[in-house]
Amino acid sequence: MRRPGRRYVATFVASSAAVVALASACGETKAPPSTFVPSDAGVTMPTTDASPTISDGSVPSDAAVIRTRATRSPMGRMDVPRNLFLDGDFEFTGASDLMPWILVADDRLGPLPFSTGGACPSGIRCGRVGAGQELYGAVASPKSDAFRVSVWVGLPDVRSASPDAGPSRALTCADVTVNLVDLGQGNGDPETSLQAFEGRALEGENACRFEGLAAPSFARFLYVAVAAKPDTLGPGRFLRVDDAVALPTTDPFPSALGPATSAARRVPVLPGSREDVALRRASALVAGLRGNAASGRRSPGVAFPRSRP
Amino acid sequence: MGFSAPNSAEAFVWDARGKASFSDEAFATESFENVGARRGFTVVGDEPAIEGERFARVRDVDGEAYLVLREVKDASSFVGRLFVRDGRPIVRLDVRYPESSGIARRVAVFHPTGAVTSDGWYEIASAPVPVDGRARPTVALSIALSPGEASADVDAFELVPDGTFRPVTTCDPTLPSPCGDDGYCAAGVCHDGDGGVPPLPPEPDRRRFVAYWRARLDTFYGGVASRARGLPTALSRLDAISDAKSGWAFWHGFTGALRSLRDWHTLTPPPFEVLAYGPFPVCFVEGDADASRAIAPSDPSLADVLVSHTATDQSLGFASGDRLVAVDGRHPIAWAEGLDDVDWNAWHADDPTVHAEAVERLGYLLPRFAKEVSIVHCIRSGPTAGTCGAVETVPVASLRTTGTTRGVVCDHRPALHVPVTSDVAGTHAFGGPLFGLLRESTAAEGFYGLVWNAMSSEDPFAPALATMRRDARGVVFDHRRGDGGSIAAIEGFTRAFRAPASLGVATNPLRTVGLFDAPFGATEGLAVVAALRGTGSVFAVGAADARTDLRVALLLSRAGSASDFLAHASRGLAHVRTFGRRTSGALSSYQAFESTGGFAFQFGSGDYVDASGATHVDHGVVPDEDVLPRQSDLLADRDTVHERALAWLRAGAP
Repeated sequence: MRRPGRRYVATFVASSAAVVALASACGETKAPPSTFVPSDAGVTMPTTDASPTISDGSVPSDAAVIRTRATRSPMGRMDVPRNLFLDGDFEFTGASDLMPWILVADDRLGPLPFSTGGACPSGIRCGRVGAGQELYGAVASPKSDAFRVSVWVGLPDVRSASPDAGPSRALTCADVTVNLVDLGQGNGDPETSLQAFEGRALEGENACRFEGLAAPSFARFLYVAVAAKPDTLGPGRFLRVDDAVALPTTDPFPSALGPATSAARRVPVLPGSREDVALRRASALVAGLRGNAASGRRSPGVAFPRSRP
Repeated sequence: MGFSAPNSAEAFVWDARGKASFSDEAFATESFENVGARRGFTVVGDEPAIEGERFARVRDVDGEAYLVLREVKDASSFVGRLFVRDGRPIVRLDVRYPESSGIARRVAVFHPTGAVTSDGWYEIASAPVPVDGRARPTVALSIALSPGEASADVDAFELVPDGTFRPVTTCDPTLPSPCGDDGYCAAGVCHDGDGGVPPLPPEPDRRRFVAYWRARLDTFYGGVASRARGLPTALSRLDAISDAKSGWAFWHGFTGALRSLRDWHTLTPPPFEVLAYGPFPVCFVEGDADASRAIAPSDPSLADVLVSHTATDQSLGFASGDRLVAVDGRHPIAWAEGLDDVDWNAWHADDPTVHAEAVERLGYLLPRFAKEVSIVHCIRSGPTAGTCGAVETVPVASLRTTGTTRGVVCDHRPALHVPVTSDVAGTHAFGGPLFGLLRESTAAEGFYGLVWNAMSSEDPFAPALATMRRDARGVVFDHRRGDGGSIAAIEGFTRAFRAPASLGVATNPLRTVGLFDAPFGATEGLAVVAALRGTGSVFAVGAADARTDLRVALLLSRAGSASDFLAHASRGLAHVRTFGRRTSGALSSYQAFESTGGFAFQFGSGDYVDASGATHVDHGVVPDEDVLPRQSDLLADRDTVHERALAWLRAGAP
C-alpha cells in the first residue's frame, strides 16, 4: 500500500455507495482534494455513537469498513453569523464554568460530556445529555420580534447502551423535550410559561430537528433546554445535541434546516410541577456562577502550573 | 514564517477499512498498544483502534500524562499528529533543554486539523517545533485533560519532520514588534507564536469567523457604558484579522480585539506558557510616596507604586516601603496598562479611573516584559529609618531568585490582622475566610476581623458570621483583594449586618438583542427594572434581624464583580463605612468559552440597573474614605488603611 517518498491516501465519504466506489481507490491513487467532503456542507455521517458500523447499520466483518472519514471545519458552523445561540454547535463550549451550554445533572452543574468527530453533524464536537439530565444552551431574543429556533438532537442507537443497561427501546422525537426557558425567573410565578418546540424525524438519520417560532422575551435569562422524557433513557445512553440555530424572523433561515414552522407551544409552568422543579434547580445553580470571577480566571491547563498572573 | 495548517491529507496512510498506518517519514510513533503501565493511561482493546489493535484512554491524570519520545540528535523541526475522541485533551510537544544549555523550553500545542471519522475520532496536530538535538533536549508528548473533562481517548501519535530549524534569538522588549509579526518577546527571547495557537483558518472560514464573533460581541457583550466605550474599537480590531497571514497574527489579533474592551470580566489567558527570567516574589500597591517625593516626583494622575510585601525567603532586594518609580522609563501603571498588545493576561477594571489590577500584576509582568526598572530603596531601621536613597535603574534580567521560593500572593494587604499561621502570614496564601479577634483589639473591646478574597458560597462564612453576630462590637471586613464570587452569596452575607432592601436588578448575561444600545437612559433602565421585578434577578440584600448596631469597616483596594456588589450594598449606611480605593465597576456577569488546545477566553455580559434606572457597569463604587497606603507607614510596618478603619471603629464605640 505504501511507497517511499509518496503519499497514498484512501479517502472515504459517508455514504454506502461512496464507500463501495472508493474501495477500488485504495492505495494507488492519490486522492484528489475534491473527494473529501467539504467542511460542514450538509455532511451525513453514520449517527451511531462510536459503534463500528457501516451506513446500513449492519455490524461489519473484519474485512468490512470500520469507519469512514470526512473533513470538517474545526470551528463549526459559521455560515450563520447572526445565530442567536451563543455557541450553536459546541465548538467553543467547555465542560465546566459559565459556558454557552451547561448541563444540570444530579442537582449540580456539569461537567458537560461531549461526543466528537463524525458523531456530530456540524464541526467536531457536540453535547450529550443522559437520563435525568437537562442541557441548557444560551440564546438571545430579539427585543420585540419573534425568532425562529432549530436544534438537532441525535437519538441513541439501541446498541449503544452499555451491556448492563438492560433492555432498551428505540427512541423517537416524542421522547425528547426542547423548550425555551428563562433561568432568571425562579419565582414560581403561576403565569410563567415555557415555549415548547416540536420535533420531526430526519430522514436517513436516527435524529430529530426541533423547530418553532418563539415569542420575544425582554431582558430575560434565556436558554433552550434539551432533555429526554422520564424513563426513556437507560444508563449509558444519551442524546446528542448539535447544530442549534436561532434567527430573527427578519433574517433568512438556512434552507437546509427545513421549512418554516409554526409557533412554539406555550406550556404553563405550574408551581411544584416537574418543569418548575427543574427550572428552580437550574436557576439556583446558575445563580451560583454569576459574577464569579474567581473561577473565571482560568488556567490554560494543568501542564503549566503558574502563579496567578 | 507563516504557519499553514498541517495538511490532514498527508497524515497517516489509510486502508480500505478505515484503519491507519504511520507515514514512512515518521521519526517517532506511539501506537498506545502497551502504554497501560504509564501513569494516566489505560489501554482499551475491545473497540476498534485508529491504528493497531488498541488505543489509550487518558483519565485519572493528575496534571499531565507524559511520554518521552525518541532522542533527537540533529537540529531539526517536527510536527506531531494524534487522533483523539470523546474529549478535548490539551496535547503538547514539549522540548526541554538542560539548564546548562541556556536554551529556552519550546512547546507546540495540538489543534484539530478537520479530519474526522464516523466513529467519533478527530485528528489534532501541532505547528512545526524546532528541536536542537545537539543540545540534548528531552522531547516529550504531554497530554492533559481539559477542565471538567473526565477522560479522552488517544491513538496513533506520529512525529514527522516538517519545517525548518530556527535557533532561539534574543530580543529587546522596548522596540516595536521586536520579534516580527509571528512571535513575541518574553524574558529577552523571541518565542514562536504559531506553536501556541490554533492554525490560521483557511478561507472562507477566516472571514466567517470574524463575522461570527463580531455578532457574538455585538449581541452578548457588556453593559450600557462598557459597550459604548469599548465595542467600536474591538469590532474594528476584529475586522482587521481577516487579512492575517499567520496563525499567530490571527489569534493574537482576535484576543487583542477582546482585550481592547478593557473589561474586568474579559480575559484571554494564553494557552501557552509565557517564560519569565524567574519568580518575582514582590507585591506592589498603589500608595502615597510621602517619604520619597523629593527624590522622585509623583505623577499628577496616577498613584505612586510601593512595595507592599515580599516573599519571606526571597525578595530580590526589595522590602516593604520601597518604591517602583518607573519601568522602561514609564510610570509603572502606564507601562503595565500599555502591554495589551503583548500580554494575553492583560486585565483592566471597567472603570477607567481604577488601576489596581495593573499594580497587582506587576510581579507577573516585570520578569516577562520589562527591560529595566527604576527603584527607590529606603531604610527601614536604625537612626536613618524612613529615609530613602537615590533612584536606581537596574536590568530586570539581573533580578533573579536563587533556587526555589515559597512565593507570595499579592492581595494589596501589607499585613494580615487576624490570627494566622506563620506560613499564611508569610505567603498571604489562604483558601477560605480568615476570622478572629483583631490583633490590635481585645475580647473586652470586641473588634473582629474577617479577611477573604472571593465569596462563591455563604457556607464557609457561617461560623464567622455567627460569632460576629454574638460577640462583636465592631468588625473590619478586609476585602482588599476582591475576586468576586456569586451575587447570591453576597446577598446572603449582607443579611448579617444590614437592613433589608431591594436595590436594583442584575440583568445576568445579556440575552436581549440591542437591550443596551444607545440611547439608553433612565426610561430604558426603569423598563428593565420593571421587566425583572419579582424575579430572581432582583438584588435583594439585608435581613430584618440583621445587626444594624454593629459597626462595619469594609476595606477595598481591588474589587470587582460580586465584590463590586458588596461595596454597592454597603453604601449609605450609618453603621457601615468603606475605606480604600474605588472598585472596578464590573457589576455584571460574563460568558466563558473554550476552544481547543487549552485556548479559553471570556467576556463580560450584562449590567446592573438600580431602582432609579441608572446602570452601573463602568462606574466603580467610590469609598467613603479614599485612602492610600503611605510609604512612611510601610517603612514603619504600619498598615495605613487598616489603621484608619480601626480608628473609625473606636471613635464610634460606646
